[in-house]
This record gives sequence, structure tokens and C-alpha cells, in this order.
Amino acid sequence: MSLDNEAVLLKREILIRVATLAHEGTLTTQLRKLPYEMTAAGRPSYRCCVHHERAILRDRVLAVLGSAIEERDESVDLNEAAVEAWERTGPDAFPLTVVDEACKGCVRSHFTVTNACQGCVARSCRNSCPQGSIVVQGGRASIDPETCINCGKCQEACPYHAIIHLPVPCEEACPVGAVTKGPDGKETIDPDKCILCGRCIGACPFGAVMEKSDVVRIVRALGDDRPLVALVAPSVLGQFPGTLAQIYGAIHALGFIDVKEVAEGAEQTAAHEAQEWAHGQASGQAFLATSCCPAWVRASRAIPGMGAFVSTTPSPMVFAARAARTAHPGAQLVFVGPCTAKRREALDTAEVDAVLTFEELGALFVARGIEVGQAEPFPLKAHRPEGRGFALSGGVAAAVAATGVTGLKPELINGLTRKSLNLLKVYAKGKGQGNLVEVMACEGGCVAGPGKVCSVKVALTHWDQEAK
Amino acid sequence: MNDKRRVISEVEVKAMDRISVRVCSGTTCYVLGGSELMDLARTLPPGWRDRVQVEGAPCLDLCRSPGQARPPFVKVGDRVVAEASVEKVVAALRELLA
Ligand code: FES
Repeated sequence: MSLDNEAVLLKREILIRVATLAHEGTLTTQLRKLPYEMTAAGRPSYRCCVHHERAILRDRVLAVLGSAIEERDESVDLNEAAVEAWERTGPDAFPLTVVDEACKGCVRSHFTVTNACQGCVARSCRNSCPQGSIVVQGGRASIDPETCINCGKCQEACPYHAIIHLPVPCEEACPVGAVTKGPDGKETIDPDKCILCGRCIGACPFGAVMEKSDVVRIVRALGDDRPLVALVAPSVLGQFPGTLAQIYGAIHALGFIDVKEVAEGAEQTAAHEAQEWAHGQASGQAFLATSCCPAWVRASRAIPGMGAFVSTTPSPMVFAARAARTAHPGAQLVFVGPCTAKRREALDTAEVDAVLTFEELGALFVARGIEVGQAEPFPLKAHRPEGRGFALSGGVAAAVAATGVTGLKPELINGLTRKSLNLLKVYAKGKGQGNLVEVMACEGGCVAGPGKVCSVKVALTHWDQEAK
Repeated sequence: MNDKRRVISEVEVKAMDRISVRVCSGTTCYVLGGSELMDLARTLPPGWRDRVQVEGAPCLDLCRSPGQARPPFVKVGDRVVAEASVEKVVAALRELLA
């Protein structure tokens, strides 16, 4: 991620440019120029022609403004769209959108014979195919797409590794089959099936899946009279240069009147969840599944029988929000984290007023010229390390264990994939081994969330340093 | 006593000869991909360790200058590497060390 995916950098550049214009008060008069500036001479180009490039950039800008690309009017002017974004009172209920102009419309996932095929005498491919879909003609094997069932046996059988699998990356990344092709071959996301894990965002090599950002509304709110309080997820460590206290200081410098650690709420979640677990065990419940990952909570609803096992303990964000409301009545609360599904949790619980990803926070820093590495450290409360540990896989189970409950047998689901969802289905039938199932949708934990700035590897070096 | 003095001066000479690599850790560079350069020092070939001095630097002021060069920036000696990646920095160093 990051450096090796230019689509990610392109999105960040647009976020920075939009945030800068919004901050300077020129969004509604200058935004129209953005696709032209970003296609000026000397800029890299990715598409067939500059017109297509601009059309896609325009759609990306619309997503950054918080609009659904699927519903846009082709003729909408960016300056007008900016006015609309500036006036918007809340985000869309479904936070993802597909930039169909950018979507390549990849051919359906399939196996194909490459020109490495030697037309050998063995005919291993043909002989391995349960469907009789392979013919060898003119010294070369070919697969009949009509009858092929994508089993992949021919690929394994070929002694020359001449058969390859061409996936549809976004569909392959989706653990719940929510991403499928529409009649035009472009991808669409089923909002009812989608669990908002955000895997498709990073998986698409064309950057066609985007989040509808709320960044313009937050820039506006920062200039309003009503005070703002930031609730910052513990995964923020390493997302920016400088220490944790400096990152908090930089957020404070943006104009938030207070900056709270969600880790504080995480301590409450752990304590509450430990009690819930102990009660469940006493009354013969097979296991308790954690509930702090909103993508998992969404996914759990589609697993028959799982509902009875998912913890009803509020998430760290919710606990942190309640404390912040008491401390600052009347303030607007902004959750800052790496998570797409939190956008929806925020709407569903109505506990916070807006969600900002780390990428979007970075855009605000750049727009305001705030150097995080030079920022004045913000005084952080002393915490037990367990709350911050929620950001990493294993951290929630560790925090529950640290409350002193006995007999805990944790099972860690480190990343929601088709495979791990199958294991969770086994659990729902009461056939699992562990009695506390910690589920995190992202491999590695929240530090791997779709709205992160740096790779997990870099984030973890910061964690190691801070722990010393 | 004499021996010791000789060793120290050798170290000093080496330090002077070292090529300085300054990785920008300003916010703009960091957010636009520079984060991945933070462990650059560890990824360099071991044989270069005493010939190259890698350090983080506050904003190099290149992100604010007009022109087409894009972040993240790394300064290798006097040379500016734009859109820097580990591979690009290694290539620049290889030329200087050759
Ligand atoms: S942040 Fe790197 S040059 Fe300014």
C-alpha cells in the first residue's frame, strides 16, 4: 500500500486540494479548475486521453465532496457541486461509491492459457478438466469460457505454469460477495450485503472504489461558532510524523477545542465486555464475540445464529463520545480513525456528529500548513496500555484478559475473509474452540484500516518505539 | 595512546566523507507516501552503512515551491529526489558512490 499504489496518492492529492480550497474559501469558485490543473503538462497520465483523465478526476472530486457518483448528473459543474457540499447537513447513509468512469470493467474472473503453452504431449490440462472445457488445437490449449467452472485444476496440472488466473480484484477482495458486475460490466456494490470493511477500495488497481468524504463539512464546521471535539482512535500512532502527543497537538491546532483518546473509551469497553463474558459463561453461553469492529458487527448479522453471541457492549467510540458530551455539552464530536464502517456506525448510533479518516486528517494538516513533527505536544492523560492496544489484532482479547477474568480461551479472527467467515459460521453453530472470539475485519487490526496513511509495517515500528 | 588517536581521526574522516541522505518528514511528504521511507536506513545495503548518513528532516520547503516536482522528497547529497521511493534513493546513491 501507499507508495506502490498511485491511485491512493491521487486520491490524497485531491483531498488536499479540496481541503485547501475549502479552507481558503475559494472552493465554490475555483474547484472547476482542479481537473485541468491536475492534468497540466508534465503530470503523469494514466488514461487514453486527457479528456477521459479529466472526466475521471471530476468524478473523484465529486466523491471527495461526499456525492454518490452513481447518481450524478453528467453535466453537473464542480463549482455548483461545491456549493451543495458546503451546504450539506450530513453524510450519505452508504459511504462508498464506484467511479464507473474509472472502473475498467475487468473481464469476469477466469482462467486463461498464455502463450507459454507448449502444446505438449502430456495434455495434463485437458485430462485434469472435469468439464471437458479444454481443447488443444494448433499446438496450443484453450479453455471454453462457456463450460469452464473456474475450478483451477488445469492451472495446477500444467507442467509449464502456462495457465493463469485473471481475477476481478475488487470482487475477490470482498469477503461477502457484495461487489458484482452490472449489465454494463462495471462493478456495483450492494449496500445491503456490504459490511463496509473497505477492502475493495485498496484492491481496485484503478482506484475506482472511493469513500464519500465528509471533509468539506468538517472544514466548514471548524470555522463555525459551535465548538468541535476530536475523538481519536488509538491506531493514529505512526500515521503522522512526531509523537502521539504531537499528533494530538496538531489536531488541537486545527481548531478542535479538545482532543480525546478513544483508548479511554476502549478501557470501558474492555471492562464491560469482561463482565458480559463472565455472565455469559456462568449461564452456559458457548462464547462471546467482540463488538468493537463495526464491519464485523455488520457481517455478523448475515450469519445465522450469530446474533446471540455478539457482545452488546458499546464500542470505544461510543463510550468516548458519551464522556465527551458530558465534558463539552453542545460541542460537535468528530471521530478520527482509519475506518470506513465507522462512518455508518456514527450515523446508526447518532453518538458522534462526523467521521474523519487519517487520510482526510492529513489533508487538513497540509491545507493548514501544520507541521505535525513541530507541533506543540498536547497533554495526554496517563492510560493503561490496554486501551491503546485495541488498535492491534489481539489487543481487545488482551484487554479483556487484563481485567482479571479467569478461564478465558480467546480465538483471534485477524481479518475478515471468506475463509475466516466460514470459521465464524462454525462458531455460530456452537462448535468453536475458544470462548472469547475477537474479530477484526482488517488484517493486523485497525492500524490496517482503509483510511490509514502509512503501511502497517511502518505503523508497527512506531508502536515498538512508543512502547519502549 | 597514539594508537587511540589514530583510530578516532579515521572515524572522523569517514564521517566527513559520508553522503547525507535527508528524508523529508514534513507533513505533506509523509502523507503523500513519505511514511514508507521512514525505515530507509535499515533497507540500504549493509556495505553502505558507514558511507551514508540517513536522517529525517523537517519540511525541506520543496512542497511549497511551484513546479511539477512532486512529494515525497529526499535529498541525496545536493540532489533532490522527487516522488521518492526506496528504489529511487538507492539508485541515486549508487551513482554517487560509484
Ligand atoms: S513536507 Fe517535504 S518538502 Fe515540505
